Amino acid sequence: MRISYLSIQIIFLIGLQITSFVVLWAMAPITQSATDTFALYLSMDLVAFVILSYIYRSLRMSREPSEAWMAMGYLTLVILLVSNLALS
Amino acid sequence: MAGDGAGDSQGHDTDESRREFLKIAAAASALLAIGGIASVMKAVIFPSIPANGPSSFPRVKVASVASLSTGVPVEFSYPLDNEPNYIIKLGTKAEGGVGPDGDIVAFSDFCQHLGCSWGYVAPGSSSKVNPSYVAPEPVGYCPCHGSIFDLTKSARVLGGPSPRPLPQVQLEVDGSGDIYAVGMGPPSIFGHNTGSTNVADDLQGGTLVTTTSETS
Amino acid sequence: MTDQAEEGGGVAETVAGWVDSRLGLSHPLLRPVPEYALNPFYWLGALAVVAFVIQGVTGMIMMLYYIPSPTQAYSSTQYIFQSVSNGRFLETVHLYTAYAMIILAFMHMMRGYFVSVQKKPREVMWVVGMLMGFITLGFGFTGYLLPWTVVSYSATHVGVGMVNALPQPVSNLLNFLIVGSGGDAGELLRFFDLHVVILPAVLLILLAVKMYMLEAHGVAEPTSGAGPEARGRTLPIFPDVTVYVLELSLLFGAGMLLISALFPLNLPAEYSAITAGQATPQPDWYFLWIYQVLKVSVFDVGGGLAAALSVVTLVFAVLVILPFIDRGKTRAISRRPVYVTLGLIFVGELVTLSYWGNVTPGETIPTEQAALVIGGTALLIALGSMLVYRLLYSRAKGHLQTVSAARLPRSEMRSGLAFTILVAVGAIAIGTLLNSIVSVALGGFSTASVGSLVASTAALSLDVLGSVYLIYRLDLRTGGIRRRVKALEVGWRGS
Repeated sequence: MRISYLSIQIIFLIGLQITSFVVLWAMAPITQSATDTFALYLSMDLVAFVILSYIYRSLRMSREPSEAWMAMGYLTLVILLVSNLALS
Repeated sequence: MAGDGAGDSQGHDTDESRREFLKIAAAASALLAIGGIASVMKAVIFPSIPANGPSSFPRVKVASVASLSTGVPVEFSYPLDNEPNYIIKLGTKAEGGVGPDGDIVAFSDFCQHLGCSWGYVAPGSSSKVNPSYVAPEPVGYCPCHGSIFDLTKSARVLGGPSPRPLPQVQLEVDGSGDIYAVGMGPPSIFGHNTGSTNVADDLQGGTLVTTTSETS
Repeated sequence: MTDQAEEGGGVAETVAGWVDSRLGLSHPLLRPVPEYALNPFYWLGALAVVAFVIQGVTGMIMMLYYIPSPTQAYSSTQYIFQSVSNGRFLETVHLYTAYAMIILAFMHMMRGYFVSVQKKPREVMWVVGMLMGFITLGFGFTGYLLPWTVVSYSATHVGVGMVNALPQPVSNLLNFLIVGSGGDAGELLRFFDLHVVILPAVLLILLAVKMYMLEAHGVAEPTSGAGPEARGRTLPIFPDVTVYVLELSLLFGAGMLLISALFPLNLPAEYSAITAGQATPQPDWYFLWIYQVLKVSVFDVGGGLAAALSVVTLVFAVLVILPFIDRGKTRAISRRPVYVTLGLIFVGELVTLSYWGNVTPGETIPTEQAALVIGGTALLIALGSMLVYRLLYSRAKGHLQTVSAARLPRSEMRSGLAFTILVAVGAIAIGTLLNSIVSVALGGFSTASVGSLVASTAALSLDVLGSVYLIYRLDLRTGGIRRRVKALEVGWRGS
């Protein structure tokens, strides 16, 4: 089966979510910076879900997920990652 | 991409498995998102390590048996520099008392009502601010609103508006007659999460006392 | 293909099928939503509810530690900040989400206003919504006192003092609700009970009523009207609309997490009679505009507070009964210039007054200054709005053939700029003129006051002449003045 570009994105997003999930449950958010990291990983988890559900919803309506919205979703993830590095 | 149907000649098969894959992916994503949110509950409800700050009471010398005279309170700070206490040799055996006669006790100087500083009243005498009250036992009498604490019974409230007894300092005497403060009993000292039964609150909000802090 | 689907169904299908058949998820409880409603603007109210839920969750956790008594309120709040695991983060999220809830409710209201959802048959929904808005403000007001800090105590007492200036029956009722038997302890307990039980209960009841009406009327159509085809294209609540709302909500949640991580809160000092004397009372930002109106010096006289409050109450009252004032049938933004302009002025004034209130804590505002700022903002917005309407209308009527709304030719932009400058100068000139009139009236004729009177009159006259000339010049390029005036008239009458 041809692996489509979209499938790669989906696998990447699920991977990101799994990483966040593991980190969130393993972490003990004691200090302020640990809490910040916790919050940002949770945000990444949620945003990844949002992007994925957008893909799911668009395909259900037989419509391509628009590139503009996908780009904004990934940009948000990048912002979260950068904030993570900036705050820790 | 949605319309082209991956692998047209294989048609329905791959389209179905794609749909299946997408459904599983969406469901997994939802579960991971919910799981992520659930971890917040864990973080808040089950704190794994107690809060920032010292977690144990220091052991500090506050007086010696020989230096104390009956009925003369001596002030010292414990466990933090802003938590004054009185150590008194009562002359009668008392709950929690140390020393050869079991009558040396120490309590927080802050009344549990509104934080005023109470004064020691020997049995049979009265406080200067209220001559009509004659103490039956060694008591602490708070001049602000008249709370009375029985110092022989762990500062139990005998009268007045204080809702709780005074926090008692846990004392130990070593072989050479030195008296050490080693802990605090509940309730928490006034002003440090007042009214709490968690003595760890006495350790928040100030600097730990590390050496002898005897004052006259 | 069908047996392929059933065969290739697999695990996901069976599990989903089981869950669905037990929970009844795909059973049509709520009516399907038309496709055009998958737009964030249609869900601002839903996001406000999501914010409320977040408030509930964070609030319930904090409620386990908070003690509503004047001697322990601050120390228990401090305990949350210092000793509860992630307590500071909880408090931060709670505060920022409170602000978000107020902002979202406001955006929800303004969006509804601009696309006229409050017309028949949704008038009652609007009124219920306004009540929910007042309750949301009430949440902010009651919650603000609970930490018992210097800031919160002073700010709340400005508000409580205002209650006594209201007419008797209202002030008695409000006094009963908020102050109770008197004294700090009674008041704090009432505020706490209101914040945690009474207001949430009332809000939920009103929400249920509004949801019921929403279910009856459906989502409001776009103002340009939706043909039967667009109305027909609907999506089921589960899973499509649910997933969409989840997307919006989780994005919102992620945003709040990010903001709370970036800007953690610090607890101000505890309230005590001494420290309160040193702090300037300043209400939380969403009340600043009301406070600013109260600070204008014309209200400094006896009975002035009641007068100021009447002004504010009038504003709120107009908002509440709006669907019964504006009974026209048109909903399109392009055909309601007056109401849209009024709406824009309202938003502009709120922003201006709030910002101004922020930079002038505790100061009394001279009346002329207030008139200048309030009037000037209104004037600027009105003129700007009229200009845009004129351009849009001209475009629609074909008078400006070469102009598209997005690409004004440079000449139009230059004249637009010139026009704006003239308007700004005019506003300042009006203000200075008013000022000088007042100073002449109060202080008599002196060189300074007469001088400023003459100067501002001259400036205003020049400005008016310049504006008239500019309009005339623009008109030369596109058509007769009479035609322009007529076009404006038709536009106005069409609202």
